[in-house]
Amino acid sequence: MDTFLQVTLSGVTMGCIYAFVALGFTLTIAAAGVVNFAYSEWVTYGAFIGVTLVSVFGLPLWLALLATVLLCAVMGYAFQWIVFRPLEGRHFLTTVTATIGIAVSMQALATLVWGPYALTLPTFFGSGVVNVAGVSIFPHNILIIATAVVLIGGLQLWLTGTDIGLRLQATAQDPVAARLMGIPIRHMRTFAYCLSAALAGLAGFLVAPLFVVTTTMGFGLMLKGLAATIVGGWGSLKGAVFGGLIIGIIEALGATYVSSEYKDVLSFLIIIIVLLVRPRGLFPEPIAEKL
Amino acid sequence: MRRIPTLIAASLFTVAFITTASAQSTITLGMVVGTTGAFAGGEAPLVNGTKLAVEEINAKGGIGGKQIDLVIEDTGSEQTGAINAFNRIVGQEPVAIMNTTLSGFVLSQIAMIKDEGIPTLTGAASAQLSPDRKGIEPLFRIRTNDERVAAAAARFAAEKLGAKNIAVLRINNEYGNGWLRAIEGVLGELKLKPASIESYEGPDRDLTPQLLRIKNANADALIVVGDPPNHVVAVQQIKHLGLCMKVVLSNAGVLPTTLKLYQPDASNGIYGTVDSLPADVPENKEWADRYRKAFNLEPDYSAAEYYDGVMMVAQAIAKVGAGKDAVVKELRSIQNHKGIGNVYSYANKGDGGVSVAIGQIENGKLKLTTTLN
Repeated sequence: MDTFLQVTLSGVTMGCIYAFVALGFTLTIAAAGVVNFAYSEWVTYGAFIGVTLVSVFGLPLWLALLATVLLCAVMGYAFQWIVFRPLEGRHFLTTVTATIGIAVSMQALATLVWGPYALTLPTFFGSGVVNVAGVSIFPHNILIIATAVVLIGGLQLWLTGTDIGLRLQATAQDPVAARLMGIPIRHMRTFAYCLSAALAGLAGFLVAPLFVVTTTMGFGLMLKGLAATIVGGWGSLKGAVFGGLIIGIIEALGATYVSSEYKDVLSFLIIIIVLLVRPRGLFPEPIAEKL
Repeated sequence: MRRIPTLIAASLFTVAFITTASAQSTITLGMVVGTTGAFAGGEAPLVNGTKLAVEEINAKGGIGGKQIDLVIEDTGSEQTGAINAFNRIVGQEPVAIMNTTLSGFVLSQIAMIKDEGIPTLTGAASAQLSPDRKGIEPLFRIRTNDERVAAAAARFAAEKLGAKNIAVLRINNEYGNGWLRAIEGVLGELKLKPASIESYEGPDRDLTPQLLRIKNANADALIVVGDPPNHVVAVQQIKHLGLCMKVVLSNAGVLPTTLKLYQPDASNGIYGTVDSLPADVPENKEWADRYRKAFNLEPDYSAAEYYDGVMMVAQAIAKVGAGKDAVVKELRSIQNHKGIGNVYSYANKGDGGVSVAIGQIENGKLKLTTTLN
């Protein structure tokens, strides 16, 4: 039982991390129809910016976290101007290819700026562990789960209960109709890019103490985030969360009770089964048809 | 107007003459490594060691009056990138190539290395590259064969630490598989069976399931095999889960740049394998100080081995000239050559480095426990 609880906790933590990534990834799909493969580097840059602010500028962790989120939002804004606006109206594959190219360039730039060696970031609670009923709980994992719950809940409330949230949803569902209704869809898209990048910064900062900061850390995460997006349904925020959690938990339980050799096989098997039963994911959105 | 073509022709002739003269006054040393991508951190010391040797040789007047021109091509830490980078380097007509340390990449270049016949030195440690397996005449290993290092780790765990239930947590690639085969071989000789064999993929950052399986198998020692980030995650999670078995890390786990990443309370007492601890040897002090000054880093065995490699090539060229066949033949005659990072033998199907050392981490530093030559 201890093992089951321990592994489930670890699976939920990883699931929340995947959900963070999938959420940010999904936001740009939902709001602008852009599958942004440079998202992996946004997460990586979030972690590197966090490390720089803490270890070079000596900022306290909480301030470094806020500054990282803010700087990443600015990065999203810059991206919107430099990359996404010139690509508007182009074929889906053109945009995808461009974002892959940018991801490769950003990775090389990260090596030039931060060097080739791995870095680490301290946690908010030190390296101590709390033992509850035979289960070792690392406080940073709880922080990740709590942040995910608050953030996802808040995002859901904001999207469905506020004017700007409803405008964003309208932009996602039908940009032409939204424009005719007087919604400034360009501003809404800019806002979605900034929010997506801010989420990437938050994800990068929070996973840095667990993951070790390397120039390739975001890529593996994005693959899992992409898998979560596919399982949950393209463009579905709810789907991104459930997809992330499903993959995280299945991976952990599979590696424990079946075999660590087949951990990834199990994850991809789940994706195949979900896609066979529900080809548009667990929570399909109309945006999937436009991609 | 008629003078313009004449002037252009004269300029081109001058440029060609200068270029040829310049090319004749230098010797090109090629290097194929990952300067970007996942393995850039692990391969950076190789570049440092090579640069240090080249600078030293050039400062002393070069080889036979010719300066060494080091040309580095990036693999991007990818297999196809390694093949392309090797091709680009071959186009520069180097006297020798300091190649990547990733065994899988070197295995994919084998046919090209054989065809070109350029002396190629590598830190790739897979047993597959031994002269009696897939190793070839122009390929020289400047490291200790993984089989030997992994076997030393297993023997150390069983004989020195007294472990009876030894578990293995390995990265799922050629490097991890090579270690596993060697460990299983030693345990078989000792009439022991692995308590548990677990694997993970390179990008995995949660090893809780694997570590819990190892814990539930009542392992009293654990050998962890992987890259620097994998070791950091493993050591951190071993502490979080309260696992109290003895731990032996593979080489990447005790590199100076990896040691910096551990929480001191999590890594204290953990063992690790290395080919050598070059900075701990008094006669290497001048070299180690020079390395620290040049790169602001603590030197490690891999940097020392690439330094040694360049020095061996330089000595061979100084003796027999820069012809690739002559250099290969000269390098193949090396027997028990003591360098900074290892002792090398290539004569009589020698497999390169032979030294293995095991150290223990104490307050972020690796202290020598035992040496096995």
